Amino acid sequence: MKKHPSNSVLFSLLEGSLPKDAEHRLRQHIEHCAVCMQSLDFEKQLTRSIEELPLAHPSPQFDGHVLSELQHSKAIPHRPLQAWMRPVITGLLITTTLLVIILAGGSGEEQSQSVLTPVFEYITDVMSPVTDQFHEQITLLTPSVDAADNHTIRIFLIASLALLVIGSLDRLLLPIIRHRERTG
Amino acid sequence: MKHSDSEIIQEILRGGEHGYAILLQRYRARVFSLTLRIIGRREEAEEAAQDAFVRAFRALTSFEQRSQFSTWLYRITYNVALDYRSRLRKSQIPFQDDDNADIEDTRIPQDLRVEHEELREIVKDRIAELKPDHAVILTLFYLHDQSYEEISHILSLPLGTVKNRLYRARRILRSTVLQHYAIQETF
Repeated sequence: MKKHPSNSVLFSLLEGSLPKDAEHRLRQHIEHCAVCMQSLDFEKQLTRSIEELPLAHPSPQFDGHVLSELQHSKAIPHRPLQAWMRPVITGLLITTTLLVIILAGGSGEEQSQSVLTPVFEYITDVMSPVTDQFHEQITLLTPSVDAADNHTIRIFLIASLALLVIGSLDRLLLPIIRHRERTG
Repeated sequence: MKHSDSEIIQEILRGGEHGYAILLQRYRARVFSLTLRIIGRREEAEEAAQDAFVRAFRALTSFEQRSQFSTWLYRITYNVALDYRSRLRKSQIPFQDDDNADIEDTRIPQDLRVEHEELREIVKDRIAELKPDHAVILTLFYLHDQSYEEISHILSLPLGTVKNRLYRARRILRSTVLQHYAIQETF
């Protein structure tokens, strides 16, 4: 090695990122070169001085401010939902959905005796323009569709609506459960 | 027995609020040192550090432990401090722009005798005058023991940029320290 190595090479030597053979050659050079030896010593001292810099300390009220801010915003993190709760909630929601579908999907006579009859009558009324239109389109495509099919279409639409409502409830219920967990 | 950050976080998530105080005690000086390097004003730096802790504690449930807690906390701190700094920019924070600093490959004078205590004081003064980008990267690497990869994550910079910036920051610091000795010699 004829030239003195640059500072970047010395820096690489200090951080150990030089290839083994290059490091070996460089160390051999430094051993016999007073200039490079001094440079390397200075770099080492500089590194030590940076590492030993004192950390800045905030005021004694620092922790208190952080903790009171946390309390103030009621930001104590909630515990994650227990592993067993998710399937239970999902199961409940599926059961409820099936129940709604069964209640809605009975024959005309059964429906008239159902607790939910007023609800379904209302939904049927509200949705009748849609179902009629839907039925009309289906009839055009498949002229064999009869009244029974019309009833099936209504059940299908009501069941879809029920799934939509219950799916939304899932979104609403989970935060409520979590909030209760959090507040004990 | 000293508990790991991960154990403390699990304790907090189970409702043990004492864990907050332990994390605060463990990281308050490091977080504050970082915000102070970026913002440069004690009062605002302390406010930013508090804000960083509150945000981190609020988001603990979303901490997926893919990195060290310290790296995750420093990343939040860095972003919060940048927000504060940009808000203060109008009122001009007294930082020198060291981009044009003389960083030629200065040789050390043969007769230079450096006392460690003295050098440490000079480094302390000079690092405070560096551009925040340079001061921050030196702080993260040498004081906060963050690796290149971790710094890359904290600053959202490519690894190569981190290495270059760290080397440049160190050269600028070295150069200003040597300038100090050169000026002293003339007296």
